[in-house]
Amino acid sequence: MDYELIEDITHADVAVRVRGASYSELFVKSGRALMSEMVENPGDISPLVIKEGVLSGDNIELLFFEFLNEILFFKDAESLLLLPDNISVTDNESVYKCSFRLAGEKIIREKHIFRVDVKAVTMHGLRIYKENDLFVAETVFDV
Amino acid sequence: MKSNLIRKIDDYIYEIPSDAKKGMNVPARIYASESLVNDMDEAVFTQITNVATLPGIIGEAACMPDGHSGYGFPIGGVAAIDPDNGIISPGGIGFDINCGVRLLSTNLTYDEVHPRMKEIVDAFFRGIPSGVGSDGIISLSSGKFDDAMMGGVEWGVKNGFGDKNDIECCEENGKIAGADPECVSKKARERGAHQVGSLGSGNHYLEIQVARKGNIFDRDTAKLFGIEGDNSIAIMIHTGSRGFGHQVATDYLHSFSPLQTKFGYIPPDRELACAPFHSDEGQRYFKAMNCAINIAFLNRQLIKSRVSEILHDIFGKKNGLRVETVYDVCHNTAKLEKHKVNGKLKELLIHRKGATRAFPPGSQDIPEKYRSAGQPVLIGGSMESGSYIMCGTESAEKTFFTTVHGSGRVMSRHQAKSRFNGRELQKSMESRGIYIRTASYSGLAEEAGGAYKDVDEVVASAEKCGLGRVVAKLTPLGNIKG
Repeated sequence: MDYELIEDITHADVAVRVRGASYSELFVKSGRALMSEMVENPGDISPLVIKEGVLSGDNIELLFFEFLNEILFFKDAESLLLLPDNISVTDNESVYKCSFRLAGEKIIREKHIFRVDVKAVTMHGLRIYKENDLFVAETVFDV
Repeated sequence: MKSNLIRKIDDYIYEIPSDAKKGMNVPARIYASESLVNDMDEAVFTQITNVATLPGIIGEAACMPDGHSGYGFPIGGVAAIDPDNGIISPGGIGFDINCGVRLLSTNLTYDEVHPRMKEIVDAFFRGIPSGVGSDGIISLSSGKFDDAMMGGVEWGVKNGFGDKNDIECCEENGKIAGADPECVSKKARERGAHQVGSLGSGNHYLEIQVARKGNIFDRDTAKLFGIEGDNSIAIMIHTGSRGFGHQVATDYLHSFSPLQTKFGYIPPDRELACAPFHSDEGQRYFKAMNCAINIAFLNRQLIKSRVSEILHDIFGKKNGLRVETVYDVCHNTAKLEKHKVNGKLKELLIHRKGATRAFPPGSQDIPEKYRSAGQPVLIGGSMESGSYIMCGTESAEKTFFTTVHGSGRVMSRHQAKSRFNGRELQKSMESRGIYIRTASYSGLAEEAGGAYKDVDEVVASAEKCGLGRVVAKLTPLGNIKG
């Protein structure tokens, strides 16, 4: 598991901590963490459908929130289970831009083993900070 | 006491004073027995004192006996806000707007359903969409979805999914005023239009329950609420506004967050981002949230309609099978209600997150047939322990007529998953007479009875706090979980 569960933040929901060498890696790992909380076998999600987009803003945490909620949007709107495929997060004079390419497939009940449905990525305790040479993101998923 | 900031007011009220944390406008009060307070995780106290900092909060930030930590507000958190100078906060409502409970009474008895429990549960599991990404009973075109956002249960009844009693027996008659689809994003529509009439996942469920002998504590009120006697069968539905409500909350939380400096309030938790109630931003969220409230009412209405069809298919030979809505309560809302403040009636915006409105006898806001008893309050316990029906009482005025909504978790989801095994739990429950079908065994383990507080103690505590009166306990026989 490429993320930690944080136990003392919430009983009702799921709090996670993710580390990455760059913002891009942090977003990739967090997207995978999100899907891993929903699906027991995320490795079995075949990359048959591609969704691409660009998000931007002046706050990295809000961008992170928006990015992860994109994955949840496609899960409900198009019944798609998507994993980060190619993510590029850039910082140009404090304007952050996230170009994302997500890959996955339609939900197949016989194939995908579900844990719980994450309703939303919350802002409770949401923070991104640097620890030693790594970026760290902490967030709570509403279950 | 767990936190040295908490002081005992009496055996069932504990207070964290308003000088305990910078920015608190009012004290925080926890309504619970000492043992329940001691079982609460520390984050509950952090979260309820954060609530006390909200602009415009009146009286106190209240936490119900089933309180446990969530995000923004604790689950069981209540805040009465003066709309003239206060705010509205998506974090005080939750992403699952109008997550709530509908109870159906039937004239079926234990002896009739027990031998056919597997057949009934299997039919519910096949017929009622549940689990991650499940589509609903209906898929709505854009124009119809707008009508449904404004019409709620009334829309369902007009389109053949229910009857007049369903409208009468919901909070707000299943259709809250002030819903405006213009304030709902395209994404929320795309996310929710095809999920109406589905249970979802997590702690959502549909449960077949029985009022066992000895568990009806007030027979007259129970009868008024459709529980005719010992061994009566009831059906409890717990679900909300699905992806539609989740997206409405996400959209507005995202838009409110950068505006906190402009609004002059920097919340101690970003999830409490808010807007002045009468600002354009606050009003747009309020109108969109009301759309989600109505969609959640409709969601439970469609499931009720399907339950009725399935039971009629199975018990078609029984003359006069009755499947009726007892009541439908909301857990996650912000509603404008009139309450007494310093002896005068004043309109307040009551945020309830994981808490139930409990209006007293005589209230004009509850169905006429229930006014002698008070509002039916439906408390969904864990799938192993049972649920309760209470009724509203005058003594709940102190919490703006609010009470518990469930058992309340005592274990995190991860702890529960480490402790319980879903498949073993299913077998164990079956050996104890509870037949369960689930879309997720991992999810089942997270919802084990042992992960929750003792519902008997929670409800007894609520009654001793004056937050309602116990009418009956309902015991689970069969359950479907998402």
